[in-house]
Amino acid sequence: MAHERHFDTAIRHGTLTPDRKYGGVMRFEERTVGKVFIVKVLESRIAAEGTARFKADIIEFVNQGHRTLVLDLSDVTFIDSSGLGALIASLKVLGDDGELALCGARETVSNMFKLTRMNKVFRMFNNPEEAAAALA
Amino acid sequence: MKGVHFAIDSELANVSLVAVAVNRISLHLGLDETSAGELELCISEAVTNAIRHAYHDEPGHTVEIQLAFRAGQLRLEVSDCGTLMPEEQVRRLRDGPLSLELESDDRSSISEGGRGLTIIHQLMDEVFYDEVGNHNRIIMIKHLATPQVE
Repeated sequence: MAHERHFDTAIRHGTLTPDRKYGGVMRFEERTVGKVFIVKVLESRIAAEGTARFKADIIEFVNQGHRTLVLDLSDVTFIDSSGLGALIASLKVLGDDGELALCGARETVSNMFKLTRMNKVFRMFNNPEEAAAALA
Repeated sequence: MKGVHFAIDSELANVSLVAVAVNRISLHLGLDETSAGELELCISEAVTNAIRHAYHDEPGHTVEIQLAFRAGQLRLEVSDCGTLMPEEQVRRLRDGPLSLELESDDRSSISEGGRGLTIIHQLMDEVFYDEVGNHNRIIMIKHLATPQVE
């Protein structure tokens, strides 16, 4: 049963190399459940100053071969329109046969998705387990 | 009328400092968390817009932010001395988008940018833009619920 699924791989921290070109470092925690690659964003803000780096990191995950990604936003308290833009850019890189879903969005973050109708573009789940079960 | 005035250098790294301050000040003034979060978002979008589009991401210029609070409203003002805002952007800020709905389900057609001013239009109760000499100035007003007197 889906809820008995175990996260069996080691959690990796900050595997992507900081790059001066993009400024700043986004910290992530990554794990894989079957074909679903779950990335927890360990930052409280996804805002203009960090979105070039954020977008590059997500695209790097895609380029590593991950086609079904779930971003866990439970630590994120603020996202602006640039952050949304980075998610949309990542979705486009995935193309029509890949999936980029979100989970754990707090009220301020999910309000932003509703306001911009991006809740119709990204599938949103309550937590990583629910997302992994739905996308497996 | 209570108020505070900030000035930052035109670098994106400074935007969060202003945004967090506006959020915290809003809470201090008695706004609820949702409203404080909305004001944080709007000030963030307006200041980012000034840095990106008025100053073209060039550091060394000043963006000024004023917050004023009086009974019934909280007013935010963002001004810069950069490139004046194009008419199309002024219209988006003032009138909002023609439609909020997505035009297509096709991922590749979804725009990656251009939502900042629309978000301000949607979340604030009143929005004004004016050019004062070579200054851009955006004024954003949030109406506050008046406390009920028993």
